[in-house]
Amino acid sequence: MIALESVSKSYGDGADALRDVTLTIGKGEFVCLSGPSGAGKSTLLRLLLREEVASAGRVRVGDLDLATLGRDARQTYRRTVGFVFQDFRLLADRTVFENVATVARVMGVPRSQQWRRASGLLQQVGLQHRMDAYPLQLSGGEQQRVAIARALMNQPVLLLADEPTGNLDRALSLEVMETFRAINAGGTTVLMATHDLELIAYVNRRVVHLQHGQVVGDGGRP
Amino acid sequence: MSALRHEEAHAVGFLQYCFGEAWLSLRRRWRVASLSTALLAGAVFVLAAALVGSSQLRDVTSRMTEAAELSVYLDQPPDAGVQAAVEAAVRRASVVRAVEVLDPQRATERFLRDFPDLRDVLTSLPERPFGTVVEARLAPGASEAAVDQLVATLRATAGVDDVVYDREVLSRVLLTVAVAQRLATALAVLLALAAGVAVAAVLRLSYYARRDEIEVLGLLGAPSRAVSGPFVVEGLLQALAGTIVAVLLLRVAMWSIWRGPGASWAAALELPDVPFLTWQQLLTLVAGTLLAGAAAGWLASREVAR
Ligand SMILES: Nc1ncnc2c1ncn2[C@@H]1O[C@H](COP(=O)(O)OP(=O)(O)OP(=O)(O)O)[C@@H](O)[C@H]1O
Ligand SMILES: [Mg+2]
Repeated sequence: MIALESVSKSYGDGADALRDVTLTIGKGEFVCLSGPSGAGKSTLLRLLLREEVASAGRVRVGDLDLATLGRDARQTYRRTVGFVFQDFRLLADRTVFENVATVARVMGVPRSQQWRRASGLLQQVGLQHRMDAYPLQLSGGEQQRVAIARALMNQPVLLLADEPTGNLDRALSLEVMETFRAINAGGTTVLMATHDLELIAYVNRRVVHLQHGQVVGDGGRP
Repeated sequence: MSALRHEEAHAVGFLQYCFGEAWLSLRRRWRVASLSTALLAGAVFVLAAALVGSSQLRDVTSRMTEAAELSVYLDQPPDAGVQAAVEAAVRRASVVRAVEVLDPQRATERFLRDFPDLRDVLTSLPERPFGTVVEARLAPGASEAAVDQLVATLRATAGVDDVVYDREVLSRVLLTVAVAQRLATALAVLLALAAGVAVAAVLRLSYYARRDEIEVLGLLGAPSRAVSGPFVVEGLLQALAGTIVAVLLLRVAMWSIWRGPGASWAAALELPDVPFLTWQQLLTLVAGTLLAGAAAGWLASREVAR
């Protein structure tokens, strides 16, 4: 499903955010990406969204070489990926419902269809009563759950989550993990960046450990 | 790939999305949007007025050309032979449509009718200033060269005192018309430029307002048409509003000049009754401005996409 071959990424100011990373993730896997702050977790996920392009090496998802995608192909690819941004990236002047349904909305999916899917997802993350609120009227944890619901809206083949529980308490975090497990059980490959060791233990799946932009551990439990 | 296939199937929904976003954006920036729409309306108004005016002017000038006269003043005292020869020569000319012969008496009368203020001058003259006058109306579309040749021939004819051909007056009128048309066109172009700048400013504003949103849309995989669509519609809506306002204004202006408060002035000035834009002109105008609006929106979104 995902194959990184000797991937390096530098942001132009010298230091490499990723250095010679080689990593393979199979279809249907649930992988936790751990490592201290600045280790390169977000960078790796951004490469997989094709928000950034590798400075060296190759990033492949399915049969796509992400570096070679044209604009239309890139956008089509992104629609098959669900992404939970570390900083949420919600649209401040849109309601919770509109945020969750963003892609369906811009694609012109009938509103009733948007509604059905979005309300189900909001229910899963416990926010069905906040559908008409605006992001700034929500707590950090609530915003994060909106971002999670949005990532799941498209029934993604690949779910990339960057610290999706960073603003959630234990109980909510575990609920989100259950949601991820369920979607993983449905065949979606999940790659989640987190430095929450307890959560990693709870998930109890493969863990890839990054440090200074390099893979320093890859195995079952941390 | 189990992802929902959103593509293609939702053309109507997509249009709804574009119109919804464009409307929202215009409402949020209604002040600048109204300003640019007003400028646009101004440009279209001048353009439409020029269109109405120029088809009217074409009528007027062709009628004037038709009415152009050639007057041949014969020597005094009247000589029947000279008169017959001149009359025959004028009648033969292909550029002449009709001939009228005025005897000295009628020539004087007509002069006094045209210039009543000069009666005293005329009566104080020792002798009668007018001999017989042979007047020719020129055929519409008579070529200048042919007319010039006729004038030269007549001037050279014995017994002819003078030949007056009012082409100078006509060409001055035509020149004025041409200048007026050029001025109107220049004004319309200027206004169109101003309107273009204003519409572009509105679109740029809505881009800056939506910049973060557009970035997020991109990351979520929105196709480029989802970004450019609302901009195109926003340009389209402004162009449509501007055109409607302009055409209504022109209608009202024409009504008030010819039927409303200005009617007595129009009558005093002998303004010819001017018909409104034809359907073809109207359609061309609307299609042109809509196209321009859509193009402006598309260009703005292209700039954004860079
Ligand atoms: N846009 C950028 N421009 C320049 N440097 C960047 C940029 N994004 C990240 N970096 C640098 O790349 C390195 C890896 O950053 P990254 O965000 O991938 O770390 P992370 O593992 O996600 O950290 P955290 O746990 O704090 O989110 C860091 O040293 C960071 O300063
Ligand atoms: Mg990070």
